[in-house]
Amino acid sequence: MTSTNLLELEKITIRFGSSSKAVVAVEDLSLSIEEGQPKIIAIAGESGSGKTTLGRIVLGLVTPTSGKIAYRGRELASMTQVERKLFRREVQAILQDPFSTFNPFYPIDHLLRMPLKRFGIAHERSDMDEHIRHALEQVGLGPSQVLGRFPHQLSGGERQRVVVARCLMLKPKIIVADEPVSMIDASVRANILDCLKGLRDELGISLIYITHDLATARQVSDELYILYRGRAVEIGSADSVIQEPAHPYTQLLVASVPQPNPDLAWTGETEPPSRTSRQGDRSGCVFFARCTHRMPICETAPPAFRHKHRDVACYLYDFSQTQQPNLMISNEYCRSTKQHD
Amino acid sequence: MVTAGLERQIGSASIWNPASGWGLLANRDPARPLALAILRLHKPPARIESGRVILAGSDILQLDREALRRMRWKEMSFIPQGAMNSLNPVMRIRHQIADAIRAHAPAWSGAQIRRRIEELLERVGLAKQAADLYPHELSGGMKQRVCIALAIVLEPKLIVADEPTSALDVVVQRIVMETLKDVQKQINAAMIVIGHDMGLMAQSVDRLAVFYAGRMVDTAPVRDFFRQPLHPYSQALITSLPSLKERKPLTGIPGMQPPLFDLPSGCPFHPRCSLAEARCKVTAPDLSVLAPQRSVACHIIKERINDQHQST
Repeated sequence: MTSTNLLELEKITIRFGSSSKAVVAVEDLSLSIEEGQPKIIAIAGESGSGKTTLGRIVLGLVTPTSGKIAYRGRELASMTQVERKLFRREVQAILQDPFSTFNPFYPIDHLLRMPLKRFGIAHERSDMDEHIRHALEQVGLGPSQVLGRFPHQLSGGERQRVVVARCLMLKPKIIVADEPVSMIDASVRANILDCLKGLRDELGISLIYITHDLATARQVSDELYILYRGRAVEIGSADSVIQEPAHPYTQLLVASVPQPNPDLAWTGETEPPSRTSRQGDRSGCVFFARCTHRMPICETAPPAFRHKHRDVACYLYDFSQTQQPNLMISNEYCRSTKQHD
Repeated sequence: MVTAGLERQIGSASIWNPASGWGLLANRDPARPLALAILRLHKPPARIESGRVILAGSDILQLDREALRRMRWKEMSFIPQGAMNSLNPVMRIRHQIADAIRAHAPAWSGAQIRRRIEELLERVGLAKQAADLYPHELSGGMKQRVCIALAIVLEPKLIVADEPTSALDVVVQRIVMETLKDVQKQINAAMIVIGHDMGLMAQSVDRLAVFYAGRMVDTAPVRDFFRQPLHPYSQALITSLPSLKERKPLTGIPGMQPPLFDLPSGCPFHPRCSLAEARCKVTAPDLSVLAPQRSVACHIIKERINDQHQST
């Protein structure tokens, strides 16, 4: 573990339940953010793939069954109270539902003053107001628009921006955003995402963006992790992973996104995955049961290979046995986009 | 026209002859009360101020309670947004479907009902054994398909689907939409889909109606709509979509949708519209027919299109 890493997750595994019936939510996952190099990491996958659990690990809300998580070089488990308080302040969360994050009985001012008091950032009333005003302006809200009002008087977009402002006041280093725009108007969505992107560029804040929407992941993030049943099946730059998905699961995901163009066919699986295929054993590739490229070797051990600057957990990219690269894997779900490009 | 609360008008629209798949595109509430009003499922303080809803020759709004009860589910059915929460958690799937059949077709025998249930589940791509499961034993996509099976059990003439896939991930989304479209064709029903996902709409409906602040502002066949969106709001909606194919700056629509009890004067979209002129602040545009099957509520677009017609 090097001291230059702001956040480091090393081979994290989370298991829920007793050993015989344990559910593995996250397995063998590593992730790091270097100090001074803010970036946006998108975590994508279907429901139940472990995205949210991963976010909760980073926030320190779940203790991993095995593996290490360290912040500023200190392991979370062995932090002193002072260190823990700093961690709590510098790693902030934006949750999915802006309608349930606020206590409905207090006006917005009170909700924003609270963290300032708790972390001892400002003591004087005027000082606090200054912090609040500044943070609200940073997210494009007029202070007069929200101050003195109650959460129910604000729209979803406004509320989500208040959440971002609340984070900003604490001068965080990392924000974990769990589906921050999924419950927001399509027309306002772009504004919020733009605001989150601005945090990286202007304030040097790193973002862990958890989503199932690949289009927004591509627009905002630098790195993309595709999770399937708790394992990262593909890791690489967001642009290249979505442009040329390598893992069969990523290919399926990308192909299944409905395009806002009626002339492009909607492709992807037509048969629902059966329930058993979702559980199964984890001794081989987790995608085995649904994969159209499966081979006998896939059942033997979890794959992990490098391909085009990416980590791809798929035996199709095992070039060590043969000198010749395997037959180039075509994306068979691939829609007619190619002709249109 | 649907009204609620402090006399705030929450929707006014006309839909003619929903022959096949219609999409109502709305970012916030408006289209939903409209769809609920079609089924007369709206709850107080909402009330239907005026208008008619004609289905198979009879005006739904004029029916008495008993006639309405008979008509619901038999002639028109509803697929709710959260399939997770719309099934009874303590009843097996079989009994929930049988319940609906018994209420509307008491003459059916037990064997007939059983056969129908099995056939239905197969039609939506579930194993017939699923009938004996409880909702918690099914995944989200399976529950949503049970809801579809329930909606088509009596082969209604109209299916209203409220964000039928919003809780599902993309892979399952497609499976559910395909199922829905298949069964709709099989039983030859009309379908109204409510949603805000442009991609989903583009892929699953024939005609699209866009709502803004409780009013229908744009309606078009789905292909025409995406090829050449006319209303400024439709245009902005399409450009604000994050693209999967390329990385480009995100462009949102500035401002917020106004609350329905405090609409701006004139055209409700004018404060956020890039084309807005002085007259937009004064008079609200009517929805006018500008091309075959296309209507738009916008002064400026209307004028442009009329000019084009004159010059040609």
